[in-house]
Amino acid sequence: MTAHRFLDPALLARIGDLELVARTVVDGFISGLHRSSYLGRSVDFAEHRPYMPGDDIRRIDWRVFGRSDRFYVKEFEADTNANFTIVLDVSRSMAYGSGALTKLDYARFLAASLAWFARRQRDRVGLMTFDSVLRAVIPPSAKHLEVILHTLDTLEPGGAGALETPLERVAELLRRRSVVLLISDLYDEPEAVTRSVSRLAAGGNDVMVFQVLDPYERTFPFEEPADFEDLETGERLPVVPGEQRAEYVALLEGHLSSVGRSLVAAGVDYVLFETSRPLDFALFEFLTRRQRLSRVR
Amino acid sequence: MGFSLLAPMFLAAMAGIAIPVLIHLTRRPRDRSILFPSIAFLRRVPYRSMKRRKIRHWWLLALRAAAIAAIAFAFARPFMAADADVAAARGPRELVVLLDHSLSMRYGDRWQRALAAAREAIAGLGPDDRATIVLFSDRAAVLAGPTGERTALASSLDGLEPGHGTTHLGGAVGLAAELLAEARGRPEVMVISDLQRGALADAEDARLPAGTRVTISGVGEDVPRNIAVPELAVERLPGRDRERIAVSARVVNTGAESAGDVAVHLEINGTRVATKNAVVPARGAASVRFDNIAAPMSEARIAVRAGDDPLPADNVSYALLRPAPPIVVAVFADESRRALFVQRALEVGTDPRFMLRLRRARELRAADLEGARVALFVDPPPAGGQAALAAFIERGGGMLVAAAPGWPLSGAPPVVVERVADHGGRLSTPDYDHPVFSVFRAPRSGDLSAARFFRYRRAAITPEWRALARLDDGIPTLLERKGPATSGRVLWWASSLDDAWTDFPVQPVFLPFVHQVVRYLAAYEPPELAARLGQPLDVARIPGVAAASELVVETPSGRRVPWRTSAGEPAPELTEPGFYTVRPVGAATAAVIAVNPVPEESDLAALDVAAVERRLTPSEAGAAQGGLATLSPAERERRQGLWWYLLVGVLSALLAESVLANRLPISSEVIR
Repeated sequence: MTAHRFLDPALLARIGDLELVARTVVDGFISGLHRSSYLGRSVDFAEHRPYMPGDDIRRIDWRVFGRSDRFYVKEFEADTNANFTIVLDVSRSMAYGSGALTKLDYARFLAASLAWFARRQRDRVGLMTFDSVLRAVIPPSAKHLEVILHTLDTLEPGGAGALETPLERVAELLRRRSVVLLISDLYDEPEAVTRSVSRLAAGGNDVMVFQVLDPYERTFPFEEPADFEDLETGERLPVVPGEQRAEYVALLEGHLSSVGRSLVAAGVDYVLFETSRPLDFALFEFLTRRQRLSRVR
Repeated sequence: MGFSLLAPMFLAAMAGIAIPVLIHLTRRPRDRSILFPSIAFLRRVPYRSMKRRKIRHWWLLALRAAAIAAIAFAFARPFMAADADVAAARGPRELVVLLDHSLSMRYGDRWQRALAAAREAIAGLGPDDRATIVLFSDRAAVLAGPTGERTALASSLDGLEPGHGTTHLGGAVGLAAELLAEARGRPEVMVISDLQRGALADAEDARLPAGTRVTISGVGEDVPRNIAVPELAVERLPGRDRERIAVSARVVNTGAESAGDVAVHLEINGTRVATKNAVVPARGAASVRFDNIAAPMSEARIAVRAGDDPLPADNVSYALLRPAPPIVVAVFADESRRALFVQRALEVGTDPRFMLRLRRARELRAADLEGARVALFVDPPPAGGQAALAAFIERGGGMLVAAAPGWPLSGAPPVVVERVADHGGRLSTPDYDHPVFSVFRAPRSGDLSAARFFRYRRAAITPEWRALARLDDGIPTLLERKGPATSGRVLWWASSLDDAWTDFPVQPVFLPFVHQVVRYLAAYEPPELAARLGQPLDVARIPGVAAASELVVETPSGRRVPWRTSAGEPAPELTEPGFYTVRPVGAATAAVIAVNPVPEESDLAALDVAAVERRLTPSEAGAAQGGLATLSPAERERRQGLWWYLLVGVLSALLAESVLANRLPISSEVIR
């Protein structure tokens, strides 16, 4: 797989219509895959298995019983009516971007694309945004894609961010088991991140976490000594990048690996995105990871 | 053309170059702010110290440093030395030899070494060089020159002997500065001296001309010991028969070794009359007293000599003791017992002695006042004696009146104040600046407040009287009449001079009080034992010669100096220690004056030669100022106009700095 196949986020940023962006990403992605088996979610039959006591008798395939006089239960590839809820971090730190896209823009595109993608699978799609509190709540529905795209289109960065309080509220609002996609830069302590996300997963939700970071946050390529101002708190700190870069990068990477490890350990699917990476590549990576989890038992 | 600086101290401001260097090392543009999602991780990274930073933008740093350096250089006021000045610096020498001939140069072979150094300096003169020899002690005078004649200069030193003055370099340096100001050659000053400690005392403002080279030929050395007799005191002893005296002398040793068994001799009229031995510690002093010596009938030349060392001139101190006539005091009292306390107090006077005449106050006659210098009225004078007393005062006689109700006071008679009930009044505010009370000024010099005054007269102070002392209720107890300076002094005492109204006469302070009152009324001046060397002869203080119009002054070395006072000739200076005789022309008798050596010359500790050389050598800035001072304003401005160009350079550097700084990729915008 070569990079030229993917859509440059900077190019996407020039497309004003978010729906068009989402469709461009998803359609291009699907045509690139030639409708391969990765598209696993459908109403298609998967297999038969012997009936076990406790199985719902409505799922017994009576035609097989008529032919073989044995009870078999039909299993399908996917639940076509799954709830797909995108939980999007709109805190102030998401407004950072060293290139054409801020992290929030990137997250916005990602969320729109996945919403579009989920809708194609006839999933119910919902959206929740938060900074330190829950901001917008669009419950999962088959008819909410337009509203979600509009909401994403008009998103503005909020204030200082926090994970625990809003995610606790999200867990309360999710009444049915959902696929929950959390998109955030996860600027919180690894323990707090794990605790918050685990609470979502504990409710029976299938939780995925997309961490979005700007390349500058990871490489810290600044040269001139300057005052660095925290986007969320407004606090200023004199920094000599040449002197402090190596230690900063080491600290951040340590944080990222710590967050990743603890999330994976908690059974959460975790992917780190840099805003410089193509969106369809991100989708591809996401789906390959999700392949093994695509079945709904 | 050469460069020099008028204010080189401003070059220190070049240290300010460190400021841009530091800024370049530590610079953090304060207006530059970078927004960042979270500085939580940055905060955990320790902030590095400045010294590890690298300098960036070398060109900018160079411009800023150059601007600071140029500003500092401009303020240092560079100026161009003219070719003529440079040529002068390479031309013939103009040498001034300052030769110390103070008393201390008599020590050992100092004078011979000093002469040798002077001769060596003269011998070192080149064919175009000139030299001036200046002799100095407390004054400075040109001995020879300025001339290039080496023979004349050397011969001027022949037979020269050191004087008796003190070493003061200030005047000599001033004279050298005057001599060199006119010279066109390379100015040089050579100081030949033993550089005693006080040599630079008057040289604070002495400045040599610009570029003067100063060399010091120090002939002084630390001496193991030097004995001197800086002080001599003569005390008249009380006695009813022949007058006797006690002579005290202070013997000092300015050397570093103790002097044991120093023989101290007392000589009167050239005859050794007593000898004592003293131990004088190193850098210390001992007191020697010759007691109960019979005083000569006429004036006596007293000398105390101590020890034997290479500087005999300061081993002797002189004094002239003249017979002191007693002060005749007429005491007037109606009853003799009332004058008892005054009489007893004046009987013990020795310096001066008092001669008492006791008379009845109410029988006052003009003859009672003849020959008296002071009249003390224990009881008030009669009204009929006022004319005689007024004449007595007019002649210069002094008078004290105790508790008189009328004359010499004017106006209403003073009423008597009774203070028996409250245990008497006390003297509270004496005028310690007045001669009567000045001896009581120092602590433990007599408690005037111990006396109690139970009864006294309250006199109103009129403009012609002033109060010298008051009691605790503010009433004046001693008044003085303000009279013309030529007439005698008049005092009025508010209480009694016996114990009738006060216990003052039985207090210890009564005796010195009465003595002071009589001394003051008699306008007594203690005789001067000796004059100080270096002062002009003051005939007013010599009895018997003040009126003479022509005098012959004979110095201790036997030199005769005629002095016509009537012609307004200045008084001869006392330049030698010993006894001067002053004789009116044609007179058979002569007055004598004792003159003592200057005690400062006995301290032979020397200053550091290098320190004196540094002190006398003009600074570079002074040199520059001196060089400019002789120029016309236009020329002066032309030569020191360099600072304008430097400031233009500074402006250019700052302009370039601004352009360069703005082109560098430093943004003041918020970076996101």
